Amino acid sequence: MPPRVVMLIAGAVSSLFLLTSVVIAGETIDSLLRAGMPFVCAPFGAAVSASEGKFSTVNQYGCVGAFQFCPATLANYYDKSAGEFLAHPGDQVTAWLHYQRDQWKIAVNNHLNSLLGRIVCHGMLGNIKRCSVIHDSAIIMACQFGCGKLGKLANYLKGQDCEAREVKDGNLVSVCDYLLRGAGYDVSCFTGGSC
Amino acid sequence: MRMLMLAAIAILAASPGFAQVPLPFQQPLTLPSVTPDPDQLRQTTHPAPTPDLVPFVYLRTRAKVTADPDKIWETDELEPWPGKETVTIQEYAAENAQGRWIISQVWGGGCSTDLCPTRLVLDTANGEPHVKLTDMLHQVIPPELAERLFTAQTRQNLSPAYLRHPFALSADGKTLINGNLSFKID
Repeated sequence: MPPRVVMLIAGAVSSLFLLTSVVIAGETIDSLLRAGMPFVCAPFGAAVSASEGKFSTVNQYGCVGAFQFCPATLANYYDKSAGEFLAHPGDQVTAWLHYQRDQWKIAVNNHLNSLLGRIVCHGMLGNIKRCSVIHDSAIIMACQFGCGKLGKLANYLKGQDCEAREVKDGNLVSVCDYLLRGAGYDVSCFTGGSC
Repeated sequence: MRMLMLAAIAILAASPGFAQVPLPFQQPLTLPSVTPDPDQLRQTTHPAPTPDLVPFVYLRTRAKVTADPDKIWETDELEPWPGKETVTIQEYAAENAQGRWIISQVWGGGCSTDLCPTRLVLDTANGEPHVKLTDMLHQVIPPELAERLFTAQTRQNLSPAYLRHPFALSADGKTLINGNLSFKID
C-alpha cells in the first residue's frame, strides 16, 4: 500500500477518534441493551441519549432520564412519577420505544416520509459541503424538532430551505443539523415494526 | 515520538488539503460524531424575572379537548397522540401596556420529547386576538402536574423561575423568552 494512502487512512482513523471523543454524555449502547433496548436500534438510542442525558438525569425544565422526557411527553407515555421513571431504566427504554414508533406514525401521517431519498445539504466540513441522503433514521432524529404538522420538519418539507427561520428553533439551530446527525442508523424497530 | 506522529496526523486530517481527498467513508457524510452537536450550541439557563421582563403566569388547563374553547387554535391544528382522540391545552397569561397576552401550548402528537406547538396571542382591549407567534417551545410544567410528577427530591433540580414563569416577554414586547430559547415577535 502506498505510504500516502496509509497516512490518509491513519489520519482518518485518528480524526474519527478525536471527533468521537467529543461526545461525552448519555447512556452507552451496552447500558441501553441491558435496559432492554432492541439490538438493532441501540446505536441510534445511544446517539440520541448522548445529547440528552443519563438514566438519572433531571434538568431544570423538568425533563428526565436518558432521553429527557419532559412533562407532557412523560405524562403521555408513563403513568407513574418522575422518580419512578428515573429509578427504572427499563421503563425509560419501553417508553422511548413507544414514543419513537408513534413519532414515525405521525411523520407518515404528515407525509414527512416523502423526504426519503432526497439529499439535504447544510453547512460545511472544512471545504466540503455537508450533505446526506435522507433515510428514515434522519427523519426520526429530526422529529426532535417535532414531526407534527406545525413542527420544523413539516416546515422544511414545504420549502426545503435549511436556512429559513421557520425550520430553526429558538436558538437558530436548523432542523437540517438533525437530519444530517441522524443519517446512517438502523431504526427498523420503529419504522418497520420488527421488534 | 508516537504522540508527535499522532498530532501531525490529526493536523493533516483537519487540513483542507486532506478533506479534498475522496475517501470511502466521506460518501455520504453520515458520521454523527462529525456533525457539531447542536445541543452544545444552546444556552443552558432560564432567566430569573427582572424589571425588563414581563413574566407569564399559569392561567388554566383545557384537558382532553377536541376543539379549542378559546379559539386560539383551529381544530385541524390539534393533533392528538397516536391512539388518542383529544389533546390538552395549557395556557399562561401576562399583561403589559399593549394588552393581555396569552400563551397556549398544545400537548399532543405535535410534541417531541421536549417541545410542543405553542402560540402567543395579544388580546387588545378593543379588538380581535392577534396571533403574534406560532412555534415549537419548551414544554411547561403546570402546577397540578408538577405536584403529581415531582417529589421534593426530584423537584430540587428544577428551575424555580421556570416552574413559575416558563415564558417572559421583553419590556418592548418584541421578544419572547422560554428557557434557553428566544423568539422575535412580529
